[in-house]
Amino acid sequence: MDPITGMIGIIIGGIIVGICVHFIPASAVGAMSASTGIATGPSMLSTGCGLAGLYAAGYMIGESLPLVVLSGAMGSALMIICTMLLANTICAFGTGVAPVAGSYDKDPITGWRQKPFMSPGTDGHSMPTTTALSGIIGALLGGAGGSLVFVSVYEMISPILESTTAVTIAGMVGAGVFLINCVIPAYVLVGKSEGMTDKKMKLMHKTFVSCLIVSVITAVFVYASVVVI
Amino acid sequence: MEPVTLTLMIGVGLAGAIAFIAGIIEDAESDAGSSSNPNSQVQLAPQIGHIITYYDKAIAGEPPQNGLWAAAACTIALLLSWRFADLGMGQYYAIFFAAVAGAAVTALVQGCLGIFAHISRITSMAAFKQPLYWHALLTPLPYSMGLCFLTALLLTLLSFVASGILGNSFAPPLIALFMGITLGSIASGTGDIHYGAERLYQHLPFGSGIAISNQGDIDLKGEYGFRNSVDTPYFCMRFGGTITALAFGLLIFLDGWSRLFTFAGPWTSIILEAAIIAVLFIFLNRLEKYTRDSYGPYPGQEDA
Amino acid sequence: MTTQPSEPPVEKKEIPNYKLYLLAVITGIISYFIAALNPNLSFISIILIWPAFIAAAGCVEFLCRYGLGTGTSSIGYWGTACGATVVFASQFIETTAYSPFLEIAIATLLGYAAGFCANKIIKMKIPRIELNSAIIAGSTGIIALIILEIFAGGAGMAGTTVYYIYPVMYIGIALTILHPYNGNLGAGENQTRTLMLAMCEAALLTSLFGFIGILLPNTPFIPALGMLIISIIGFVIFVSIWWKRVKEEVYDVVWAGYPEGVDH
Repeated sequence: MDPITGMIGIIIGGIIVGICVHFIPASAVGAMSASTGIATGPSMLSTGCGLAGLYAAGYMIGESLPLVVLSGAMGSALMIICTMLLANTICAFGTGVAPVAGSYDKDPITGWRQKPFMSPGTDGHSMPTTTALSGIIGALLGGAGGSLVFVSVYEMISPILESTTAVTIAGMVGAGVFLINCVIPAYVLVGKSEGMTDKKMKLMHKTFVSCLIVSVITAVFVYASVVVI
Repeated sequence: MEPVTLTLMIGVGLAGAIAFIAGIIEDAESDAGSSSNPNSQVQLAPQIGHIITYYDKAIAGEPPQNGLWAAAACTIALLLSWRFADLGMGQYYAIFFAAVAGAAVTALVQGCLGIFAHISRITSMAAFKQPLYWHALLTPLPYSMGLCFLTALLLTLLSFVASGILGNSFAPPLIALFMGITLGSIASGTGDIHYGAERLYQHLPFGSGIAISNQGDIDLKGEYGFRNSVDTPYFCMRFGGTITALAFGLLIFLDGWSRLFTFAGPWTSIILEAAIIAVLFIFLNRLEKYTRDSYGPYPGQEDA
Repeated sequence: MTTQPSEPPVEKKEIPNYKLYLLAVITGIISYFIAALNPNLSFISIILIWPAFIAAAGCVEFLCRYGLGTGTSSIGYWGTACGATVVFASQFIETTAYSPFLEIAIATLLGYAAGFCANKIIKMKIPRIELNSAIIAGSTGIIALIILEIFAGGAGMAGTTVYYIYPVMYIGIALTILHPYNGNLGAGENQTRTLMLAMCEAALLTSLFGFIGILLPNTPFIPALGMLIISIIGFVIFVSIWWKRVKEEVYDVVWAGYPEGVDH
């Protein structure tokens, strides 16, 4: 991969990472069963699943680009489905509430009504089917974006450095770019998101532009430090 | 069976087992310090007139703090194992001794940060007449440090297994950072619900959710006398901690398991993981149906 | 410890963060050149990077007080990602044109750009968010740069094993800048106590790095040992200052017992 392609890879990866956060249902008050979504902040959760994706991509480095990217996507989707399934289990058997979404009345996939199952004074609990699907989509995007950044940086620096060094530095830079971009959407989401059924999906263009600007600066800098200097 | 596959299989099993135990311990550590999201409830309690004796550790969000424990312990372990190897110790012995030393240093750092956080936060509550109780700090502190030691040790061993036996190409400290942050977000997404929605609010009816108006009205009494933070993990470990552990253990185990097969070349693991995700998604849907059928609509909400 | 900027004990007015940052940049650059010219003096460099921790912690406090929409921890590791990633990406490549000014400037620019996006595109309307984001990113850049310089022992980074400590550096710096505010969170939070805690934690982190430096194969022994000893001395001094302040502000200190007026 020549450095220009690598630079474009970092930019695209960064933008995808920013967008993925919108799809992941997360809310800090979820820890009190008081709102729909996984019980932690959106950026925190996206970081967790993105880094699980990077870990999975680490097994595949050296293979072709689609393999590494898909492996990362699957790693993060696996992390998020494990988390959602077992969070629902805790809600069902530990706190005694059924999964309910606050942002729609009828589940678009299963057609089950949500409102009657919601306990008074809350915005929903854990993840019903559609919300969970949204989480999986988000994790696939996040893992793919993170691995794309990782593989781009790796391909750029691997001719200069020896292989083991290059992998670790690329992993660290990939994680860094991931962390920069996944916190920016938090300014839009303000600590709470219900995934793709949330109204805040309409604000995604703001995330897109912000992540574009930040990723371009990062990518140009990485390009410059590899090629120009 | 080829010996390489056998080694890999042992590695996958070992990684899954370590991950499972690390999950239990990590969740207990966060509950013992009432950190992560339920911390907001402990923080709110003095404002509505409840004087608390919880250990208010709140070092950061759970993911970064775990990332630090794991990364610090693993870095020290790796560097120290090189030093031991220079002295003529065998590689594996060196790693085991060094991992213990690294985790011990990490536990000290955790203790310092925990003391800072607890004392500073209690000081910030001075306006609500919340005194600084030494027993609320000193009883859970060694316990929490011990759990931190175990978490750091297990995650260090896990990253050495992932890099040495399973063949992940990252250096062990970076794997430890990834594992630490991932485990932190899993634990704060699953185990904390049991602490935040059940243990802190045992006086509310089971199954009611925690309405926003009730937030901060946490339980102050333990099974006997005033509740201290050491009373928490024994309750949460039974259910919340085990489920957290299952999530993290499943992630590590299934991820490794999908790499054991080679029927479709390098695409095998991706196909298998996609299948696993689909199966787990069906489980999620069935679980939703089961809870809806068995609990029924909330009384008074049927025609809302 | 005459180099510490935020000492005025009972001052009501808050110190503006840009002044802290200016101090951090000046001491940071001095510290870089000390470490680069004579590695054996790098224990002085360690004292001179503590202001950078304080500047970053001050900005985290400023931003989070506005109810940012992200958790305190998110802003901490976001800022470190901006600063430290720039340093990590460029440090390992052997080069002649590289200078500390360039990396600090790029890190600051990246932080400024993200703050600008948050304010102008997402319309958060937090006053001075650009400036504060830039300061967090720039300060973490300074910290990462100088610690790596000390560990490289003046010999350059290429070919060393220093990259093994990138993860712990990254997460350690992130936690140290976000924790002072997060640890002080509450109604009685004030800048003086937060910055005092930032000093304690900065010294704690540098002593951890000093310990790691002793173990690193490429790092000369004397600077690393100096770093560890000077950090532990600083830690003890700062903790005693902080504890004095806590005793002034806390409601009461009690060994054990039940709260008054509660049946038990």
